[in-house]
Amino acid sequence: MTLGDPALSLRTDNARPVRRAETEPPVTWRRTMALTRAVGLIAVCLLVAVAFGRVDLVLIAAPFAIGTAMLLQQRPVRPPEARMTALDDASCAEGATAAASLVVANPEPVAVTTLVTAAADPWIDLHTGKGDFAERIGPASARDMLVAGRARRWGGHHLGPVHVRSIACGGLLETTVQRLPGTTVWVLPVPDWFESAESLPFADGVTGVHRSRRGGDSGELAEVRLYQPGDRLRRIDWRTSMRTQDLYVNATLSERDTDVTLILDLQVEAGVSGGVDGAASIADLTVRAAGAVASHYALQGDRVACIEFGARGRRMRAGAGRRHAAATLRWLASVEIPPDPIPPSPEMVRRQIAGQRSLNVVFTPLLTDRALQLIAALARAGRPVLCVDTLPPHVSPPQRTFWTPHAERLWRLDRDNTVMELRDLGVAVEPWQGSASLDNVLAELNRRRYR
Amino acid sequence: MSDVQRGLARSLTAGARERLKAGRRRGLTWLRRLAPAPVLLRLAVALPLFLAAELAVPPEWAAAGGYIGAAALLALAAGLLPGGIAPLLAMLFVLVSWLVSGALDRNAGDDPSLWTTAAIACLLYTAHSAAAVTQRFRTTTAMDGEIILTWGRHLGLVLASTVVTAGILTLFTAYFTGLTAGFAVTAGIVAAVTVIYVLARSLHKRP
Repeated sequence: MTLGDPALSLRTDNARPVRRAETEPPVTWRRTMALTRAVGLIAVCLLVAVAFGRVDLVLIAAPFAIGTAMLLQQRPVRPPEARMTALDDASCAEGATAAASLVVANPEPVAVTTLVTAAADPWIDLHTGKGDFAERIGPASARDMLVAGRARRWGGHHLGPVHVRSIACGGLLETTVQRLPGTTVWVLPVPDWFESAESLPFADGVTGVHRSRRGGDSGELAEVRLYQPGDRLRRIDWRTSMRTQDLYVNATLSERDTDVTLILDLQVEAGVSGGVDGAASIADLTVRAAGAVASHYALQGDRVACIEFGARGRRMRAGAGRRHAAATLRWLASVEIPPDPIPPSPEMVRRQIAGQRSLNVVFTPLLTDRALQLIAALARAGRPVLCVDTLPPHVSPPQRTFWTPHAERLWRLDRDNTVMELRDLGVAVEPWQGSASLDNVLAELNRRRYR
Repeated sequence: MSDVQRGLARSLTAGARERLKAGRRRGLTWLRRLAPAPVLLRLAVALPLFLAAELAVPPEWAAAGGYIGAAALLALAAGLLPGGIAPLLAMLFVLVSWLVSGALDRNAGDDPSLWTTAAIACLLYTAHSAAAVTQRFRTTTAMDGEIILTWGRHLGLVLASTVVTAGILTLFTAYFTGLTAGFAVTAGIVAAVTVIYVLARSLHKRP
């Protein structure tokens, strides 16, 4: 192979053109327009004064000469050093303040003014005075500054780049701009309030809050029955025994926990997200609803796992408790729907679902055939499936022609038919309505289970 | 109108409405974030420049519409863009007006006092130093109060020195007029070149 081989000059697969790595130029002090102006005015005034014998021009040049000489008496040599430092907690909730810390150190014995200009993701509204501000830094000292804004939507948002420029000698000298790349702040979704009093249909663990079909020690009364050898004495129901003159005991059902698997259909996004205060898109509704259900069951003691049914196919391990609920919110914050995703495989997701006895909650807008295939396959396999409809009610196609409303109506009728077919398969389909919105369908699932 | 045309018209209307809404929102955001200190500093650039331009010429010129318009335009440009060449142009406009009016008025025998010159010098330096401080700041930049304090202290010192210089020049006017022309020109050139050299050298000096 020679160096002139055309195969060597083929373009790479990478869409980004090959470039030399860009390095930031070093930060240096330089003169400003103000210094040039002062020196120029002094020169013009003095020369004209000499040429035309005008003493008044000397007087006009005097404050410029005096002021410039006074300001340039102490000049900085080394530029201030700026760096971003991590905050203790780099995540915040929707609607709260996302912040990054910036430290500027001035090594010179001259006070300088530092001008900080920060940019941020469109979902972060920089606070007034926290994104564009000027601070004075004393001689040989450092100052800690805060770049902060209000996070309007969940997700990983970039706070930066931050441009830092220092000015000294009353604006006669300035540094070149130092560009800091900024940091990513994780904004956790604020889940809707969700509370469910219903027990889950398949209790599977060792201990928990759901009643099992098996008897055992707990407070859940199953029946009052005749005493049998082996029954504990403290279980004897003395009131019934007195009345019937026979020994009766209270039999209870054991309480178990269960697995809840949340499947998030993230194939398509529709609707325009308005952030925490505005309208919700499909992704918003999915993430907030999943966060609410996951937090409720994880805090209750059930094991909650999450699976993405989308381009990335991520999976969050099953777990219970407060820490797991927080970790699930962080996992949900990194959900993203690429504009042109690779379609996911329902078979792969089916294989990821742990046991036959877990409750599967599918959050889906019911817009793709693959999601319907997945739900139908789970239902046919005899797994309990709960389908949460995450298509926001206000989302509709943009009106392009006269026929758009009619076409939309036909499409909605078709969608209703699909929902009815799913219900025929034993899938409970319920639109997300926040608190206690799943109680009815959970009760229905329980009835079907214990029938 | 066909369906395609109707759709296009609706899209255009919706786009224009969105742009209008976004523009209004941007304007409101800018108004909400407007910081007082940079705005006042810009005022401290524009107002002194305008006043200096009015002081530099005789009252009959100063009242002329064309002159007021040109002075106001240059002062406004300097206030809005303090980091560019606008302040220099406005100052040169004042200087040229001063020189031209001085040359014409001297013929009329009406010489303005040295205190008027001192006032013009103070106003020009106020505008220059305010422009130097605010040249990199936006109208929404939240400024540390100490920056304004330092600027005020420096300005006070320089203005006081200018007044003292004016006083000294007033006291010794008779002495200056008694010097021979050749000596005055030589001394003036030497002084001017020295000042320019010292200032220019101080830019490159490394301690």
